Amino acid sequence: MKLNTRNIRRVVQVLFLLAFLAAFVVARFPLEFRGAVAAARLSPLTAVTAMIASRSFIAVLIPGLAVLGLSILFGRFFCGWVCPLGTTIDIADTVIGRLRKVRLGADKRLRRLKFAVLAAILGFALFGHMASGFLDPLALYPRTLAAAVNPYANHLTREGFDLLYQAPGIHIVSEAVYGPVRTHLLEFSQPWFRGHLLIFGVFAAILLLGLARSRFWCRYVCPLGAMLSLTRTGLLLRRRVASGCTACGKCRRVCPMGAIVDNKGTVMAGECALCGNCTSLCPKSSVRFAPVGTRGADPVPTAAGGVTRRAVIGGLAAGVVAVPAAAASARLGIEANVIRPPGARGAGEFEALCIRCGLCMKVCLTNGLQPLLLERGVAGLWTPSLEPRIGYCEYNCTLCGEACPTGAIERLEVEQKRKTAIGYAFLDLNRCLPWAFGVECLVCEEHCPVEPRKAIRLERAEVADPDTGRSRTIKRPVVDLASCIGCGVCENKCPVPGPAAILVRGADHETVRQLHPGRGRNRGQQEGAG
Amino acid sequence: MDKGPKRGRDCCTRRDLIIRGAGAALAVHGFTGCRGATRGRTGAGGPLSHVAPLPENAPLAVARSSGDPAAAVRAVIHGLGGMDEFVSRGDTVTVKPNIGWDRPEAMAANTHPEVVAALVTLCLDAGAARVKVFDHPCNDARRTYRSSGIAQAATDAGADVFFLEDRSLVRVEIPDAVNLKEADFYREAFESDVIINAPVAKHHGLTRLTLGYKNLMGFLGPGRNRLHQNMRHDLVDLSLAVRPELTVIDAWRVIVANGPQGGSPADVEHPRVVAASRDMTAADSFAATLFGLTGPDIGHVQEAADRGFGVIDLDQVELIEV
Repeated sequence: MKLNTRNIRRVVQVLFLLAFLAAFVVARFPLEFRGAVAAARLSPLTAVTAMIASRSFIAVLIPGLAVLGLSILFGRFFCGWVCPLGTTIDIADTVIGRLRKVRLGADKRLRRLKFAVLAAILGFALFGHMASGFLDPLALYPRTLAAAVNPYANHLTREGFDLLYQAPGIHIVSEAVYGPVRTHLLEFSQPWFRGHLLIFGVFAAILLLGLARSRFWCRYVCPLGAMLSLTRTGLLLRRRVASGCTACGKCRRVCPMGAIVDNKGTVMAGECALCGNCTSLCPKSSVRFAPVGTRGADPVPTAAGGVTRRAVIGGLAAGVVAVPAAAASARLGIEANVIRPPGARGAGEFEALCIRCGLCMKVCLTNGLQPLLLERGVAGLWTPSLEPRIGYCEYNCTLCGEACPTGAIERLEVEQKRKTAIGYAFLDLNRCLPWAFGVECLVCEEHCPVEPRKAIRLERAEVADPDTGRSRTIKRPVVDLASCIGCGVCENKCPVPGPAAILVRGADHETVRQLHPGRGRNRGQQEGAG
Repeated sequence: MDKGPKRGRDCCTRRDLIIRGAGAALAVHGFTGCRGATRGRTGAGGPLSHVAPLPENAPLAVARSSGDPAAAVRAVIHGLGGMDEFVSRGDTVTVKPNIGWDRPEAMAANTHPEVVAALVTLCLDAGAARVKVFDHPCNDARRTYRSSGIAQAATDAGADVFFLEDRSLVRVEIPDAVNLKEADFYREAFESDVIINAPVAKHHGLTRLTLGYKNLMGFLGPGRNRLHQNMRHDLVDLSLAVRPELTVIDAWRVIVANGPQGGSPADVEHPRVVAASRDMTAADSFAATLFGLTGPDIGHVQEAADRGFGVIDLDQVELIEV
């Protein structure tokens, strides 16, 4: 392989992609390495949108501003060299390339679309809503991995090894391999996430756009690409076509971004991703990227990029029109039971910061954090909510806050987290075994972790046997609203089939505590021995 | 650091392959839940049971305040004749502690790690080829193994510490059971020559105390929350499928309220007692006295005695103070 820009770029792309995937895989308990969180913070789109929407300077998102700064200097290198979605698209394009018919016209108008998308996102952000996460590659990619690819890969791997285990002879080898795979690659237990098909479908659709054009997404849709394309080739680099150019048109054909508009090598401003194909594949080696100020007055042909006033205004308008729709959804969705993770900011703030990257769901020990669908409207789509029947909130765990790139879920100290209510539990007396059937159970009380005293108490009650009339004493649970934190372990472990007989309703801490201000707990009568 | 999750199984035998093959056939027919679920019956000699012989006139050794937990364990084992009485050279031993809850060691929610380590060391010194330490925790297993200190202590002592996986679940019938006619077990429950039950004594809201019989629930898979509705019978039925050769009750530090997890350091007392016996009923009955109760106060212990599984009346038990 020749040592040229193109090949160096390809190696760097693959390295970044592998690093990204590795960081994702190791983003799990005990979360000592937070590379995946850092990766999500690299997006300038996230940084700018979050700061506008929350009207605050978010220090942890400085890396995104740094990438923006570097892009101002060097142009859209991020798209060509770093972006994991871009690299994946390049790989997919290679695979499905033979199915594609190359059309070289009429794409200039389509280029404006991404600026409209960007403008819509920014317009939306002006009103405090955060919509960048839907389409920002650095949020979309981990979300797809977390909700779909990782669970699928885990399932297939486990099933595959289980199958191999049946095969006499082979199983000795496969079991030897399974050990390290199990320890280092697989999740501790098989995760599943609601809405995974849609999330995967969006990702697959993005890749399938390669049937129409190479890097279709990057050219026409990606709002991060749009933001970076505003930097054009950057302040420090110039693309030069030397006099040896024979106008053969090869560069035009090999440009994945379709950025070269004529056989003279004229490039559309802001559409070049610095991939190096043109410089490395030019038969006359007539194309180079050289720093500004390099001597030799070669012509620097550029054409106007896709930003038009119409696109920007149209996008902004769309964004602004969507604002009341978002507000309506939030209000109309008030009945839905949404349990935000502990540390999640209040409703408005949360929606101003959540980029729907899926990292909190990925690290959640119990798989309890699930993506919302439309319970809170589109504004809540793919934001996290606890589903206690699937997984409860582990009492001593703070991983979701540690994994949140934007601080939509704040990092809490363990002691603080343990006292933070995310909802409250209430009993369904029609289904609870002791209450409805006189059958002792108390699994909920057993599992309630609240310190210093459980938030589920036992009261004694006389029940009469319907057949004999004899009465006996049983213990049955009662929820203490002054101390319940809504962690959901009671609902999770309740043995009643179907919906649990004790349920958690999501609410913020202040609301829960107002339900029962608390009388200053005294220890009262202790159950049992001692 | 506890070792990563392992397969949790000894090297496969042909029998395993046949059972697994049958399981695969069931799986193909859409049998969800237990992966490759095999069915088995209890009873001496069956592949899916581990039932030590019923103890007859088994003595109960008790150590009080012997310096540290490890010394107490050594003392009670010595009092029962030494670990050679229970472990033969080349044996695979399972030490089954309570690794139930994500609580730090001082909260007494799990067996004291030094008790576990001491047992592991004694087994290895007696010539055991392999000592396995595991449990099915109620909280997240990774956190629980770590917070309890047991994974580290047992690994340091030379034990094989691993997590249980759903793929090793088997459905076991218990035909002689009064109520719990079948249950899902992790097959590791049945894959050793000797089981040493190592519960921590503590308060429990439902059963009043959780001791040796209750600790066996750690061998059960998901769905064990169905035992709570008939605990008195179900725990004794459970012992028809798994009866350990030796029960060592850790009462070094105990939870006296808000069990079985505990809620505050104020709930923890320090009797500094370790008790051991082949007779799990006698051991539980003795441990109850440390909480101001008696064996008959614990429903399932009385039930066990009523069914003839051990002695509940401490006057009839040979007590060896060590």
